[in-house]
Amino acid sequence: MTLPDPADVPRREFVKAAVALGGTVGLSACLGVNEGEGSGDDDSVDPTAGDDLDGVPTGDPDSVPDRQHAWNDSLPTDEDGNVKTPVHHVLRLVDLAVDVADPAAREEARETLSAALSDLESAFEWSNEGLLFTVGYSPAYFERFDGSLPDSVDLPEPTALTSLEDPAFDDADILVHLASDFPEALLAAEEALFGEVDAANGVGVADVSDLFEEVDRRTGFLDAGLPREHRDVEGVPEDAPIPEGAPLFMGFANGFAESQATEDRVTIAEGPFAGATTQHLSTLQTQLNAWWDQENHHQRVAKMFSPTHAAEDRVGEWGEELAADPAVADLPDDAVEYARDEGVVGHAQKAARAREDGDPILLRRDFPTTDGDHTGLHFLTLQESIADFVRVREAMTGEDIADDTGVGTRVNNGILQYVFVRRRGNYLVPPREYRSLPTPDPNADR
Amino acid sequence: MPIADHESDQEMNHTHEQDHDAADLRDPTATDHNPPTTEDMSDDPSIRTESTKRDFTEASRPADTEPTEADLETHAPLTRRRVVAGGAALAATALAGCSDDEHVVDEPEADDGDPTDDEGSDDADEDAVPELPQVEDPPEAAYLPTHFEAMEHIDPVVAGEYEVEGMVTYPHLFWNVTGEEVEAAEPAGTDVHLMATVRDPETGTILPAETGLEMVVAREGEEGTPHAPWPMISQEMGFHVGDNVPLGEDGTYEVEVRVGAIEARKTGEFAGRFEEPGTGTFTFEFDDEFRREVVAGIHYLDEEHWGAHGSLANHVAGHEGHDEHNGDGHDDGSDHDDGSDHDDGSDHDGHGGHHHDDADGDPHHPGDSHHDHHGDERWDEGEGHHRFGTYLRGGDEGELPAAAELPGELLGEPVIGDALLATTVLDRGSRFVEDDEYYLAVSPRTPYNRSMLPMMALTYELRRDGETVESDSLRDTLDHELGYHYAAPLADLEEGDELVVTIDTPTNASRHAGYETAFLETGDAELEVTLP
Repeated sequence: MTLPDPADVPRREFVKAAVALGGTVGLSACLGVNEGEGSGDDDSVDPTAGDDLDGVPTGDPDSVPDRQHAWNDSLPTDEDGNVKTPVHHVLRLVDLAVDVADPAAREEARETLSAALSDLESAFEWSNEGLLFTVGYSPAYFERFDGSLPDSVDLPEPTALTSLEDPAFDDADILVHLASDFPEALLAAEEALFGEVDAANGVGVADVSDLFEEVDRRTGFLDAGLPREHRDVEGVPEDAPIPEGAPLFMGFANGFAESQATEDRVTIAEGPFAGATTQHLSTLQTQLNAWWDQENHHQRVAKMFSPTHAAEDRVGEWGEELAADPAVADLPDDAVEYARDEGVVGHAQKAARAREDGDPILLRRDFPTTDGDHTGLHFLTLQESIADFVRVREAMTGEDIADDTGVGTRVNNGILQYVFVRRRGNYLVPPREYRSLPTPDPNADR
Repeated sequence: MPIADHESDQEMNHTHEQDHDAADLRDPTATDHNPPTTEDMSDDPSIRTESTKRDFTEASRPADTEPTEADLETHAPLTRRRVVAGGAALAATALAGCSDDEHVVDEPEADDGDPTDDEGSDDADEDAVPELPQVEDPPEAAYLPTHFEAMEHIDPVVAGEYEVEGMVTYPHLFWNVTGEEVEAAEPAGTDVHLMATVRDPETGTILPAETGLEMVVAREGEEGTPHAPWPMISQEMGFHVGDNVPLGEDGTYEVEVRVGAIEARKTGEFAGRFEEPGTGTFTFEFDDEFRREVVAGIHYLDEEHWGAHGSLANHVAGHEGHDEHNGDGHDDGSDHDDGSDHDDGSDHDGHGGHHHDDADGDPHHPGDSHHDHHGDERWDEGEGHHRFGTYLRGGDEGELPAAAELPGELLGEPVIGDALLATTVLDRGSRFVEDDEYYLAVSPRTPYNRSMLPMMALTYELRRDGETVESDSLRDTLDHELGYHYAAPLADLEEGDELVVTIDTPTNASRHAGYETAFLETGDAELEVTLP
């Protein structure tokens, strides 16, 4: 892809494109725009120098929480109490280039990576204005070691979870999730970790570039208005009336506080990996031509939330009426009976069936994407066990509903008609203490 | 334009009744039928006028409806933009090209003698919405639309255990059903209406493959974009999937179709089959020739029939199905007129006419070989793929067996929302049940064409002496003999029991014109049990 001319596009759109492009070219573009040059020209900034980034605060590793996934306390909340996930996201999937099954090689690599990650915490404040990140390890990573993960960790290989999908499976060793409101922070951190740069935001970063082999790079964004600005890709009509306030291409908000699990709920409480969480990443393509061209708002609300939401106008234009609660708790318990009456069942309504004593069990940190110039969603979730994710996904799939009602396997079955699962991957996100190249038994390892 | 005057139409022998269901037809605007002007044809040298070997449905229409080369030269060169944007003009082209005396619709008479300044023409150019005439205020029943559609049939491809026949045509107006809401899907900003029919290659049976069907559409050599097309019913194609799909530039397009496992219960020869998804790819050319052919193939009904009870012939159904498209039309069944004598007028009156009480007075069996379920005398017009009316379709002209052909004791064929619910009970210990139960099978179908109606929710209640004996939901089931139906085992059954079949959710399949006002009702049908 090429960068749009910044003179022609709003800055926000330009920097999103820069994140998608990544690397030093993208970084230069960001910096160019930020310094008001308006041309992407990088004459005044050397992106390989890890220079001080204007307005991006540095941080202190000692103030970073013990859990890698403890982001919420460092993120702002909106007026309704919903946590605001950072705007820009990068997912880096890498394989290890060193043989960490060899204890000596592992020790050296672990110390280097540990230092680099700590350096990043110095280079960026642990917040949306600096940088938030997690380092997760796949089942494929752990397979190289003798011994297996403790029973307290549920980390199976990814599988297809519905009859509708034939996904490919991510088997890279490591998934690094980087997030920030400032694309230049994101890109600088990426360059420091995976590129040739040995500093970021004016702070030196240990060189770990020899540790990794690149597998994939995925990007995305989550903020009101961004989907509307990015209707120029496949998968959405270029004139789709996506509300300005909507952070999703489907025209609604997500991440309602009442539908998000707490960080405590998704944390593994016991065993050697206490303080860890599991991470599932679904790579979803979305096809929203019919969603926008053929469905009306009433139908979209019925399918995204529930027919009751549509009938009672609970949602507003994009979800603003819901404040912090998707308002699914009062819907009838028997979704099958409900669907027989209504002929349609909502996505949020189905997913809520997997709540535990009324509490959600997934912490969603998903975000839309235009990777491959196609609309999609990097559906990244955190949960105590992968089994929790499977449970929610089964509830969302609603095969029981499709079997016994007029609701189709895809049609009128939430938003399944519009979502296509392309890849799945599972990861363990260890506590910060063990985030650098852990073995299946991190205590014995010490 | 003036409404075609049936009274003076010498080719029409049928009397037209004043109580015609669709007397309130929209006055089709002159725009709809105006031929394009010479200005429209001046700028595209790429128009091809030679004949084509490609398999377009209209290839089977009567020779006298083929546009001649003169027609094609006279009428507009069809650039892509014209086809997509200028549907009104194109419809007019097809209409003007129709010289079938029996079905002629009057040439448009431009009111002001200058069609070029007709406001509608400009609108059509800009709106990207083909405007074919529609029936206004149609009856709440299966009704005759204004025209037969035309489409390119792609040679069927193998997709695992399935056979997939792709069909491509101009963007369509169709209707989606969300619960009780029916929403017209306008063909805005799209380039083709892309469809597929899924068959069992062994039996030719059309499968209720709404489950997980996905199409990835790509210009050859480029990245594709996925679509989950709508499960749909149409008079001409029966059950299929389809959607309006935006394309890019002209060229060869590849459609990778993934057919999901069939989730209906499967019995008989279908037991254990269709458990896995299958994938296959077909290609089609998106070019001027395609656009010209699919539009030129539109075949209008005489306007007096628009909105009448009845249906267009299904040209996809039947075990031979796709093999027939190159032929001269279906073999007509033995139990109805063969189409060649349809204009003798001696054995039927115009539709909407003489309303008869149910022939045998039995509300469970409305209709017979001479009367449809409305009690009206059956009639037909046209021939081959372009036959239409209320005539009794032959065995291979519908997706489902005729009610009388269903195994077991036929309890009746009650009507709810113009859907016929053929209901039969099979004796104890049939192959459909595990133990010694009876088997209740309800086979909802479209009237006339006997197309399946998937995605319904049905329940039954068995009453005896005013008490409920059994009740449950009916499970959708696919059988080689019964076809697609909804069923439940019955432990206990006595002569004279009252059986109530309830539609909880009408079919949520999308609809082509002629079906969008039918099959939308919920409700009960009461039947008296006769033991098999």
